[in-house]
Amino acid sequence: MNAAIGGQVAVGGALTTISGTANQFIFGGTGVSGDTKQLVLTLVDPADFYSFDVTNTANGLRLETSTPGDGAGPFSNTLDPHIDLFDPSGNLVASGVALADGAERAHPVSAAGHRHVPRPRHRRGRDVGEYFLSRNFRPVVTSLTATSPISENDTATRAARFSDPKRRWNPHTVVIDWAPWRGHDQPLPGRRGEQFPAASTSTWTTGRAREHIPSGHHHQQPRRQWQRSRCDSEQRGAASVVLRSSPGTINEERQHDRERSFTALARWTCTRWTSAGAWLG
Amino acid sequence: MQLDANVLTFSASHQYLDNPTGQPSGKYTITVTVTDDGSSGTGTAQVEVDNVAPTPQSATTGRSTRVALSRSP
Repeated sequence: MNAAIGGQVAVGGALTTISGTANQFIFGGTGVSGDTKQLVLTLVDPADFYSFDVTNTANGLRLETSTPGDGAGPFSNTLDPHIDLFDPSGNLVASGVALADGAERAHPVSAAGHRHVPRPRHRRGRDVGEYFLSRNFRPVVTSLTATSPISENDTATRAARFSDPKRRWNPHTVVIDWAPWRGHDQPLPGRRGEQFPAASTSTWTTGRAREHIPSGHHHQQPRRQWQRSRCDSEQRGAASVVLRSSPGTINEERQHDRERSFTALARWTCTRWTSAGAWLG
Repeated sequence: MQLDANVLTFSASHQYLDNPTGQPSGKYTITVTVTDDGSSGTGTAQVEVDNVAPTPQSATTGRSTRVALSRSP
């Protein structure tokens, strides 16, 4: 006999509604001492149990479930799995958190230790359906070396190593931020009064940019309207990109270099770029 | 930078055209982020970039002297 919570079973003409996970009495009393219990159904928690070993505690553990077909598709899957993570002694270590992805429910759990047991558990009324359970470990950068110091205009080479228990199966993506300040040296283009053509804009995070003002302009006291700059060498993308700075004026003084902050919406890594704007003075 | 499975080392180079502003021997902090299917780990290191003083490239003597200087970027 196999029945879900909320369903009904009939044995010998008796009709009993199964509720909860406690033992169900059929043809018997309801807990009064001395009652005759002719049939007792022992119910189990509708959960699946998995176990595995975690031998490296340095790499955080991440568990995630997803359910196929719970979005727009040819079949319906209303399963809503939930993850509980237990240690070998049965103590609850962590519970999953639902992600707001709309189409799928995912429950990542990060923990480290030895021999944890994930436990996808179906919620009431949604205990039939398919789900995927994935296990991953967080990569950890274990060494990062370089030659230092170097002189300006020299090249620094970084060598790094990282660990990942699932290295044999998973490819990795490496992003290197060489520091928010790239130290580029780009003379201001154009002449006073020249309007540079506007370029399309992109989205960027807050960053800093610097212009180098040629020494010949030191005593001319020009003012320059900074509007946008084009990145000619972008390390993270193949195409040339555009930086859009907050419009403002740079007043040239005795110093060669001017820094200017700009605000945008995405990350950038630019090593060479060209300013666009107009000389006002 | 994309690394194949089972590749756990990498190296990369970057040219620093200038030392940090106002710091003749300043340091840049480099951040490395490794991502694996939604999980990521980061590491940081610093590189010191020293300023290089400008040096005369040529000089002649006589009634008219011309001196060419190279400026450090």
